[in-house]
Amino acid sequence: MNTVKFELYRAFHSRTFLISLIIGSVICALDLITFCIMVGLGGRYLAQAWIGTDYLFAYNQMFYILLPVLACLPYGGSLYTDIKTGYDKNICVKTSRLNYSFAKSVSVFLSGFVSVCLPLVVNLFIAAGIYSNYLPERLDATSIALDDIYLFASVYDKHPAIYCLIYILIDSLFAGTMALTSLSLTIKVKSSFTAVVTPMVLIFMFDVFVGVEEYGNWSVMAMLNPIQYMHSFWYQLLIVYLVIFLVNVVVITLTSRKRAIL
Amino acid sequence: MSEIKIESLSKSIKGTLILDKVSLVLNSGNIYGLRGKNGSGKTMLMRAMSGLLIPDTGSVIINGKTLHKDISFPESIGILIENPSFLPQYTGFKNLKLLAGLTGNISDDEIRTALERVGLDPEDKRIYRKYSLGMKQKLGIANAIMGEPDIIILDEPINALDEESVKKIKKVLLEIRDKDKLIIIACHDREELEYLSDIIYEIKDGSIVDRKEISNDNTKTFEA
Repeated sequence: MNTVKFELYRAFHSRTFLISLIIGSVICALDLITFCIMVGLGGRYLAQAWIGTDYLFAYNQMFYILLPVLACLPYGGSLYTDIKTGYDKNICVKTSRLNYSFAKSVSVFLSGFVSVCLPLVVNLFIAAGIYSNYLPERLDATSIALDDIYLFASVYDKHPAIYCLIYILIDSLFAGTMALTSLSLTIKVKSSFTAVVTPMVLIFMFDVFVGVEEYGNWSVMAMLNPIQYMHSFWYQLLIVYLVIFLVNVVVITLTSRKRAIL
Repeated sequence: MSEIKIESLSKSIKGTLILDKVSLVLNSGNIYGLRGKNGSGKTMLMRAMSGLLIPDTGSVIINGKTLHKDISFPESIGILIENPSFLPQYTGFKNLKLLAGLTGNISDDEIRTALERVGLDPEDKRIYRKYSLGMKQKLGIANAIMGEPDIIILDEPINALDEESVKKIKKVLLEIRDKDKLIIIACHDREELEYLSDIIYEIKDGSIVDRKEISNDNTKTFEA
């Protein structure tokens, strides 16, 4: 438990965590400001204004494209830095390798989770302070159009704010798992930057591959965007999440057990 | 009372044999010196004793418990191996406090004492990034000795230290040894190593090639 506390302290007091939060928050703020200026304050509702469901401006795409980086930036490269500077020696004579890996994984996951969750939640709350939570109108084309087959379509129709919160949770959980990917790549990469950026590159490559093969609804980026520009099923979301999560856990556990600390 | 028993320890990294069937028994109340050329295996042997390196064959047994079998890391150890490394954005005290939190059994007073013993001011507000080379080295030693662990492993501890500081560190190490602790030092300065050590092991190509007893008098104390 001491090791988890130690790593959490480092993660949430790091400069990179702050930078990630600032980037995410600025994108969210720009979206809301643009929405207020361009669309106005009257006659609009929360589900149109929140960055996740606001399809009018590019900020939604920008946020979701950058999501893997926002998730990995806070603490994803920290194991690489610990190894490179030799700081891991200080830790591994006071706790076991597995404990260290577990603590690192928990803090990387949580820092990724929070760095995506916080800007989205704050954006939702500020938008809720400006716009009412009216039910979205399906036919007027001023909000995203979710047919009944889309994920959580009925929640969106009846409780749009809950829909937003569900997607914030999904996005944050994925963000935590993507951050774990940067941790599991650490042993193989040559710089902290590569560890932080590679998960995004891998996701892009995967999305391009499934797009080319006409399995676009397996696209990770599409699954995470509340606009749902591809129709994915809940089991696809679950399978993709579990595969990324479990592969990361296995890789991190195996590499940490036998790693020589030089 | 601590004992490190190394039995036929071998380790290769990327096809190069770095430790070759090393066998040793080290007991508390002594300072052991490791001597050898660059790349002879001193640091690797220290890493293996600290549990940082997993041997290919052989074992490191600390107080009857085999590393990586019965225990994952030595229960009470302080190390400074190669360059000291700390979090650059924090002060020396804060760095040690964070690391002490990992075990939870080292008090703030013990951290302050360790810093003062090596000649650092616990109230110094400068962050680690601003430290001089010598101050970084002292902080590394303070980290190794804080809470006076049963085993202390120091690789080139007097690197980058001025004469005054070297005297201070030597005094501290002898004091700690006299509290029945086990200290292992690697040092290129032959004179300093012989002064500090009770027994010196010569390492060549990953093997122990010589053992030299410097003094049987276990009451050797610091002469200012």
